[in-house]
Amino acid sequence: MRVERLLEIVSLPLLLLLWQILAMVFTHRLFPSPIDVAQTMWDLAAGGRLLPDLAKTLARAGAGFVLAMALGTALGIVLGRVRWLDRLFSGWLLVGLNLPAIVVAIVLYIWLGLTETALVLAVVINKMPLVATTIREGVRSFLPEYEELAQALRLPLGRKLGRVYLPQLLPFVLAAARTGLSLIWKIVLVFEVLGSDGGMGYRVGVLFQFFDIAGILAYTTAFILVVLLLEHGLLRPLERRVLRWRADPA
Amino acid sequence: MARGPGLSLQIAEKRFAGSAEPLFRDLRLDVAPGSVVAVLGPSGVGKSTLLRLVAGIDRAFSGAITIDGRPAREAAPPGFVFQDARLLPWLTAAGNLRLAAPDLDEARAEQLLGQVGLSGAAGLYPRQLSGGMQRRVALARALAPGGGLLLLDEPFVSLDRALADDMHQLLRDVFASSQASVLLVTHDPLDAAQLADRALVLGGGPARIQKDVAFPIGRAERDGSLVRNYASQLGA
Repeated sequence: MRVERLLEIVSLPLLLLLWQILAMVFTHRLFPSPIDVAQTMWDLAAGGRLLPDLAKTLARAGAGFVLAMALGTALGIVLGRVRWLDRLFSGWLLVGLNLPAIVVAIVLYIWLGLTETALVLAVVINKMPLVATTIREGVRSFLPEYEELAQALRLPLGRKLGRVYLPQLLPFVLAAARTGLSLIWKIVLVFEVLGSDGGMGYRVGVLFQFFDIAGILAYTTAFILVVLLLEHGLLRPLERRVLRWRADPA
Repeated sequence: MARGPGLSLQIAEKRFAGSAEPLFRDLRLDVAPGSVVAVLGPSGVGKSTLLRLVAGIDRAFSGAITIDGRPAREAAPPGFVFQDARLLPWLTAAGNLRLAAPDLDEARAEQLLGQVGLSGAAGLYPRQLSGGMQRRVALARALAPGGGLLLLDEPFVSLDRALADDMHQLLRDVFASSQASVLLVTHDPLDAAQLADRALVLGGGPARIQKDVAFPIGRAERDGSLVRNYASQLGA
């Protein structure tokens, strides 16, 4: 267990080390080292651009995430419980799952203009089918034995929801949240490149015009740092807490 | 502890959708307050269904089930022990007890767990308990609401001999101390002969009571030969 933890800790420094070695071997203007990128990141942050861009992207991703999770979870529960609605709308879900993200963004930009609403809505439309599908599977996997137990104990609806249904659904909600975040980060940046007045994607698009690879990697690294912070500061502790009944704490 | 309630079943008809014959027709069964009644019979005859009807898990039947003269759904919920432990894995042992009795305080939870030989296990999750210990928690959960009526569905199934013997002893102790009224479903006449005050053998279709045997000697006084004699009356 201790060795596994150690491997987890050295994983990312190993990546940085490998990057540094490759940058030293293939010395080129378009292949900056992690130290160069860290320097650029510091300069961009000190210059006052990086953090507002990061905040803008995070706000968009956050809004899209919360809306997609709320709507997708509600839809997934309904489709998992009501068979005829599932039959009626499962085709829509399939279309939603396979709709190219970029097409949704373009269509909404045309209809609604280059607005925040269009961007967030595009994120929600892209993400919601995946959340709904995951949650629907969670609802379908509810054990009938627990339903029977709840009936035998005559649990009122509130306790049944809290003690029987929610704990069965939580692993699926966490899985949807995790895949949701990773998908949303990516599509928000693409949509920002396509049409917005700021944010990480917009700035990366501008830096691309100048072939400023250190700047692009500086923005990317800042972004990755936020993702890691969310993963280790929020998602994993939350997961450990709600799923602590599954295994002994390390 | 107060003596358990009387239970009365008058099933006019119970039929599963799509089946030509009803499972029960005009079936009448009474359990005297504080007595242990075993129900035996071949697989599929409707033994477990009988318990599900009393517990209110299955309400699709015509007839009446009363507990101490009140309709079963208005009476306190009976304690139900399923064929498997059926503990919720995300709740501790005490949490599983509180599922059945929300007002159960820590001391009472500990007392119930002590009664089934699990003192100090209140904070353990089901995965930290052996199969036999999980069955004991399930029994404590059935006792938690304190309604005095226990429904036991094959409590020894899939237990090895040693665990089944432990469970036998435990149930004898619980029956003696709680004075609960018990409907015990089993396929083994020896279980009935050891634990019950009376045994019913169901058979046929629609199922009828084919044998109704009372065991006049108290559980504690029965020796091996008497138990075998009682079991033989049930067709063992």
